[in-house]
Amino acid sequence: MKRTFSYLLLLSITFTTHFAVAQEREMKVAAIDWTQIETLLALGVHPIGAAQIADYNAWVKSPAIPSRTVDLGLRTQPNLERLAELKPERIFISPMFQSLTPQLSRIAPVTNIALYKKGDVSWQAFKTYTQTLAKDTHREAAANSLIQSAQATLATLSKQVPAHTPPLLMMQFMDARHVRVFGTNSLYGIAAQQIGLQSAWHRQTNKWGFSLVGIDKLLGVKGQIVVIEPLPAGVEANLRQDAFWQYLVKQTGHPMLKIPPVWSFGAIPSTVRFARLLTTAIHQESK
Amino acid sequence: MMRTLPFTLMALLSVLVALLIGAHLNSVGGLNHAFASLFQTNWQSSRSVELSLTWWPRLFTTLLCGAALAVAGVLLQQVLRNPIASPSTLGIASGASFSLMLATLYAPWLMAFSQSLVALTGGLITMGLVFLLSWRRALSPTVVVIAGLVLNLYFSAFSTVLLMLNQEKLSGLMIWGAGSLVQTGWGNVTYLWPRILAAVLVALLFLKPLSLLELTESGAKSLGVSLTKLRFVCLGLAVLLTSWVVASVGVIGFIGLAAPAITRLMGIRRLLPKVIVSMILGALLLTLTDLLIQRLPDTVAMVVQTGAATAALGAPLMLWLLPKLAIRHQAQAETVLTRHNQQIHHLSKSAIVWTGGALLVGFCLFASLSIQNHGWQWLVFNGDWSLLEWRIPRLVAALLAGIMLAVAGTIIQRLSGNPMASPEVIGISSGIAIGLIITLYSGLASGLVGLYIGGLVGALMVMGLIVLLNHKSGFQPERVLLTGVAITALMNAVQSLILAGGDPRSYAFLAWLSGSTYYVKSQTLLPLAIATLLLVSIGFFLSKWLDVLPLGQATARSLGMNVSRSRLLLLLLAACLTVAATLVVGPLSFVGLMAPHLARLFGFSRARDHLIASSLVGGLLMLLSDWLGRQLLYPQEVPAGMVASILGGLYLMWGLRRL
Repeated sequence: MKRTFSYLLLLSITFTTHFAVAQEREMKVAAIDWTQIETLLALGVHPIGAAQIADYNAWVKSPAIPSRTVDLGLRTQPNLERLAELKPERIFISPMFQSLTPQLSRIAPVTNIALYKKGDVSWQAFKTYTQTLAKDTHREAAANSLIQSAQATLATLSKQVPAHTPPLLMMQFMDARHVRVFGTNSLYGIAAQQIGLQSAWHRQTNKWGFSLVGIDKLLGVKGQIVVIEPLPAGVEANLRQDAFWQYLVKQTGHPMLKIPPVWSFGAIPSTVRFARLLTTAIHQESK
Repeated sequence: MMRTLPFTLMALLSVLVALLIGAHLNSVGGLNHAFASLFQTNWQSSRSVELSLTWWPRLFTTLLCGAALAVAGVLLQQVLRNPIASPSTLGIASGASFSLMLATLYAPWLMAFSQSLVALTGGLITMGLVFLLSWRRALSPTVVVIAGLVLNLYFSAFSTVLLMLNQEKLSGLMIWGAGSLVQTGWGNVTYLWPRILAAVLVALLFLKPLSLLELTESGAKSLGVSLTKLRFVCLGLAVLLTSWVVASVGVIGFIGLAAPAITRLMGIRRLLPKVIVSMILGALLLTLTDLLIQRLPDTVAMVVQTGAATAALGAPLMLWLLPKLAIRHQAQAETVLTRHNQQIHHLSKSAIVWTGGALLVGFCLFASLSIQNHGWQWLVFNGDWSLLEWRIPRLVAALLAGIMLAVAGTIIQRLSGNPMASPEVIGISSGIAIGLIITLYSGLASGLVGLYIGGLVGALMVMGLIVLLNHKSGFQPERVLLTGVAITALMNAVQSLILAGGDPRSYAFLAWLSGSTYYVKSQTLLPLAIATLLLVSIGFFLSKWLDVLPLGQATARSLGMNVSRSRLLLLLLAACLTVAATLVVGPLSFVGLMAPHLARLFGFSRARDHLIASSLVGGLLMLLSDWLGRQLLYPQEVPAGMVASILGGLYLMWGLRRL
């Protein structure tokens, strides 16, 4: 107790940044869901174990997982023996991995936090989600500053967006003929909305915020096409010689925008990243 | 009446297709305009662009694909003299799908170069392997089908592992795997039609010798037909047809099986009308399904792809057709089962003791030796015995499940006299999987107990279905197998529909489906052990029946047996064994197929010896698989069922080659 106290004292003297608000030593947490990992990292919590680190770094990209975090293996079946050896104090999961609860709770208390629910994904939901995670890791102050800085960034970006920007048709290619189009309930949709832009996709989406459609269904949708990378192998070459795709882009009346990979099912960090990349892309195009 | 049925059916289908086409064209601005768009794209009108670059190409692609698959099915069924042979039975589709996965992950430049070439190569290599494995038996129908099945299982196991490890990267391939017919130009049509036409023409050249195959093999031989050459050409044509379709639009289930089956059912015997009617039926069936799917509302259309839908619609059709299908009793004289009788081995007591000892030593070694956080560790040295809490339940469960599946497989193989039968093949495992999917997606339950109950209900329903459809025929082996094929097709369809929808939940399901001991807890072990003991002893108690039944109905009856009743009882036992095992390790551990097979290859053919040998093999195989699966890609886990099929498949292929 005494040691903790002196440590705290030292901390509060040394750090004047928001790290100073860490009221106690860092909790040993493990996380399975990438959305939770990205949020935890943004809150300054470094999980001792995370699932599928290499894939996280390829698909979520930022914030990067520090190298001392141990890889737990697959998200659907995190390695129980390794997890038991790490002795975490808390394990975070999302409802998607609910069936793991009986096994994981033998190692440490399991906290199940949901984000993607039907008709319930919004900027407000992102904020609540961040605050819930922060509360469970004692990072309330970090959460407030994360939300505030995110809102400030988004507000700045919204001022940079040209006023005449059309509604956006945001999509990810699955193969040469199928796309996920993101609309309501999606991260991309929220990011666009936060910087004052509209989504051009008004059809119903699933609880992850996308519709899976053939590109023939995009005909007649009025809006600027925004393609989020990565494009599957061979698709780029295929689109270049696809007369229908050329026509599709032409009929929107705007050039196609391409955005580097952003995790489509993330929370605040991915939203801010997407908003930034989107603004840059719009700027470059209008030049 | 039989004469008019084909025409009535075809007329009905044509009218339906024509009506749907008319309705669509009418709704997009009149027939004149629509037909004008067929020949010329009016770039000023987006309607015309849509019709001429997406709608019309889609219609023609669908017709072509349906016809091609039907011809491939007829050829395969004719040349293999097997009513359940179809392009998917022989592993062509899964080979193509596997090669696409490999290319996507490890050689993306190949995908950029030509996707269809990759798929075609995969399909051809698979068929080459099937030929290679069955070459020494002059491409005998039974061996070809078994080789196809083994490769099918092998590729599916590998694909599932790749999919589990790379779900994000491979999500696009799932759409392809469910067979979507979306078109954005005439590329596929111009690719497909000359090739399909050429293949059909070549097939027509071989019609005469092919129809001689209707006779017995020796009959055909005496008429001067070179069987090997004939089989080679016809199987090759079927592969090409299938691969072209698979490469351009993806995996389309069931047309290749259903169209020829319906044709046969209509009483068409001669080969030329059979080919033509099947072609028309295949084209119409696929087109009808696709047109209906295009009319679905957005939210449903998002998750329903045509290829998987044909399979889902076709499976009940197949089940309905089954009781009406006249199956000639295939002469089983040639099956792998009987070929080993020359070298009967008897189990001696000491051999059992030795194997049992090996099992025990293996168990202790597997429990204590493993990769840990800091590399390879042996618990004896590092004293970290608390880890046994995780390992022992999994190993015990794997062992018990292996034994039960092996016993179930032995019963089913002996019962059907068919070496390709197993709990997986007769559809029990698929029933469990369907039950699980419904429980998971309808939100009825997400906890473990709920999932178990869902699986159990699924299994019981499938068993009910098997009994219902087969009790009239006295559980004739071919019929039971066909029922299983239809149910498995239904399960595959449901599974690809779910994976194609891109719902992230599907991967939790996939993890279970792949057969892992991951979810086993020590509390689940006791019921499992009791079930194993009880059910396996019943199996040994009934082993006398298993000796008599393969000798044929007449012999069995003359020995005073009630053949139908004993078949039903044994089937019920096999189902119970499978349910108990599957609820623990998932439905896809092909141990039930392999263990009895391997025991056969060792030469144990008396029922009792066969049961003991196969349960030892099954137990050991699962034990090793579970352990290996946790070491191979540490910290990722490869499910035990997957490792078992990858390991056992290799051995099975080696065994087949030796036949």
